[in-house]
Amino acid sequence: MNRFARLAEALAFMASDTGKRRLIADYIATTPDPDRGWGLAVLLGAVAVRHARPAVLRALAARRTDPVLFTLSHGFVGDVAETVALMWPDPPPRSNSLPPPMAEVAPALLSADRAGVEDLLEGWLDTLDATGRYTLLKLAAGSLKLDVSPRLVAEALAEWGGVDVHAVEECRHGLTPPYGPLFAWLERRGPRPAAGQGPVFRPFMPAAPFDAGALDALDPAQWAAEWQWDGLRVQLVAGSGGRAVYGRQGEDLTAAFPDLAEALDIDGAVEGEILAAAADGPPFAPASAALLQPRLKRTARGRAVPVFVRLFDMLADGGEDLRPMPFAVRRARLERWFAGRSPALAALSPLLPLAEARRLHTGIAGAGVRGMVLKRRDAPYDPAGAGGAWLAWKRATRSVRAVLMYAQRAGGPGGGGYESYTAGLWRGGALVPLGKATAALPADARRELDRWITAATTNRFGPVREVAPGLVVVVEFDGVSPSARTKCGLSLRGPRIAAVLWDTPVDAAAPLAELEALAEG
Amino acid sequence: MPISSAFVPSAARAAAADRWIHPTPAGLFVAPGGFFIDPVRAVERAVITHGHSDHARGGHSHVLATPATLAVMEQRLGRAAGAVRQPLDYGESLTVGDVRLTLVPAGHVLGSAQVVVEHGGARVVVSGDYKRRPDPTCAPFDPVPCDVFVTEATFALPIFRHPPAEAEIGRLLHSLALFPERSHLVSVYALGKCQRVIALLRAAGYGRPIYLHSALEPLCALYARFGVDLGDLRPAAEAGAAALRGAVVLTSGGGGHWMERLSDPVTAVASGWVRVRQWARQRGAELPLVISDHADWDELTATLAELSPAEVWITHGRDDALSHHAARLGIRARALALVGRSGEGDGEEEGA
Ligand SMILES: [Zn+2]
Ligand SMILES: [Zn+2]
Repeated sequence: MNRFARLAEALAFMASDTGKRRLIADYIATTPDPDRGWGLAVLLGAVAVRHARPAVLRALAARRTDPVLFTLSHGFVGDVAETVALMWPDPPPRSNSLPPPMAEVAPALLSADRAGVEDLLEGWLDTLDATGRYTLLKLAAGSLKLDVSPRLVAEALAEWGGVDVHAVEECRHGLTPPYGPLFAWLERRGPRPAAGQGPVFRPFMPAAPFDAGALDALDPAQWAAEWQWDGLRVQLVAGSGGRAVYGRQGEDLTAAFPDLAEALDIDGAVEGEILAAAADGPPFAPASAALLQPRLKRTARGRAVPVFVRLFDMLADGGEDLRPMPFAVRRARLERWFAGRSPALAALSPLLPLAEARRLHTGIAGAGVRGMVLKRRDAPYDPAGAGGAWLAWKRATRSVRAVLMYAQRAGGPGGGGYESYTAGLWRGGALVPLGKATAALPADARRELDRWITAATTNRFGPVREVAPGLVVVVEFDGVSPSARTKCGLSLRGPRIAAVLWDTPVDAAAPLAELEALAEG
Repeated sequence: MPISSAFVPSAARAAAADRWIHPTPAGLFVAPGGFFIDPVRAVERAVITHGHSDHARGGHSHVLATPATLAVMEQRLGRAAGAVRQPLDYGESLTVGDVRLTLVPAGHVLGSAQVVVEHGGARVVVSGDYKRRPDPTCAPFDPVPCDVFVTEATFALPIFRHPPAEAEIGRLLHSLALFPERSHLVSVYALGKCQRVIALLRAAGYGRPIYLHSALEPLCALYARFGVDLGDLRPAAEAGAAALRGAVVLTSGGGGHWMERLSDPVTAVASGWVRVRQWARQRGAELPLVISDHADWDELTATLAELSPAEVWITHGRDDALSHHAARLGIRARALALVGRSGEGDGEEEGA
């Protein structure tokens, strides 16, 4: 425990990531099993307890310190746990009782109940040095700040073991403290731990940015295209070890999407994009990605948001690792599996012909799609993303400068700000409204905009406020098409206020003709 | 003539002591001897415990101190070190007016002394600053029984328990081994801490050259003249980038162009204050080394218990906690609240 405490202290003070990685590697190299495994568990945030509440700390202080001196000391230090740690008597120089190893402390904390924790901590405190006492109390309070991400820890392990960081991340998700097989592998004493022991996360394959100009250089026989969905890219893993939904950084999202985990009837791992389902559309019609936020925050409202997943890759099937196989083969396995199971809440992401890609890309619809991903058919699934086998072709964002005309109050009690905004373009000497847009602005910019609207209001119609034409905003949209049902004769897809141009005069806003020229025939 | 250690403290003598030794705006005044101890203003006669600048001010007419303290004052203050400078070796006694005066080691820095004043059968010991741990760069604290013990209280809170300095140096050496390509920039006080850190490194077997900011060089040379061997010391300003790679570089806060030649330095701070995390952060320490030349809580309280004086007078620092503790030991405590001491260590040289 004292050894881990020295690491924790060094990490807390070390500024550079390189330095932190080396400190972690040094700890791993010089600490025996199973202690280092439990130390690693703490670094990875796997020992999350909140036993040492302020009342417990004060009760501990009362057991060993003079109340007057404690008050004076606390006034100087400012932190109760630190004050207790510093004031607690040091063990006698040749004490019989050794400090507890991490392999004793961490499991005991995890299984401790609130009633017994004070005695447990007291016994340990009597054997530890000041740094050890501080680390113990902070760990037991759930407030030990190490300032290291799981990613940095994995990098440190990989550097130390001379292996690929993805390989480390993959197997550590399948292992539990004290990670004996992991260290055996890193020290070349054992095989690489199988990734099949539990729901194992496999690091994602990235897609490199793609410029449309390079499209003609791609061989249509070699490349496939897919929509790039505008949702949440996840890995769905299931097997005898359990089921899990993992996000991009390996974060466990299972608790936010229990319905998807439940619907997942697979022994293996598939990859896809979670989308919010449109309330009144056809099946698998996507709604705005913003609806996923309350889901992720696990609010009551969030649980009511229907979701589904668009599947596009298969990484493992049974015990078989499909990642070394070409994309075309993995895709065929995915389709075969999907046809056999027809899992609920899931649809395949369609493959699109590359020859049609340019036309399809130009016509990308608003909600649900961010662009396209081009995939080389013969490429393995490579988390290092070497060679640009996946290319992300983002949808071109279109925008127009318009003059703010109306804003509509959010409904409900205490509705706060505005929920939609209407801006217009010039035709002749008048402004023609473009229809409602949402605000895609940082919170402070949005507050400033709302303040401006409140001050510039000239008329009210129910929840709608009309403002004096004095402010130019940038309206972004995903597509525009002719429409007979709107005043301006055009319909925008996904319109949103992307910026406020405070100093731009209103006559610098665009004429409606500019937008008409963009409309798809 | 050595002072007697067979001495039984007396409450009556202690209670009468403030009639002949008492704080004044200029400092602690010993009336029957006509001298001040560590006065903060220029006075006619001064007895100086040690060379730290909050104790050793310039401009006195007559200064009495140990030879090492006089040398430090001459180096730092030049002509202002005192018109007449009278050395007095440890353990030698001198009669000044109606007072017998003796200097004994305080264990704080080179030349640091406790001032033992005896008058009419009463004995008062003014410790100046002190510590009780072994320090290869100065003579160890000599406990002298007395009626009144005048103590510092810089680290007089039970949160301050300095770990063994050797262990802290071990952490510095461990960091040097772990980051062999990075310079280790250690910030130290120029008098005492600097030389002690070097001596501790040498005692731990570190034989490589140690690089110094120019402000530290004269005092290290002075220590060498007084027989403290500090090994191979070199000016940092003249060192190339290759030499500074993975080297120990000491500074008392000053910088210079040479700092640009340091390779990705690890910043260490050697101070008793960095035991408290918030302080270590404020000092920008990546490697806080809890090394102090002051007594920690255990040393302060053990010294009170060992000397068991009838009264303890507290000059500067946390008098509240130490007074509380003295009361529990049955020792009458009195806070002198002397002006001009930097107390919590913000002043040059003091604290730490
Ligand atoms: Zn001092
Ligand atoms: Zn002092």
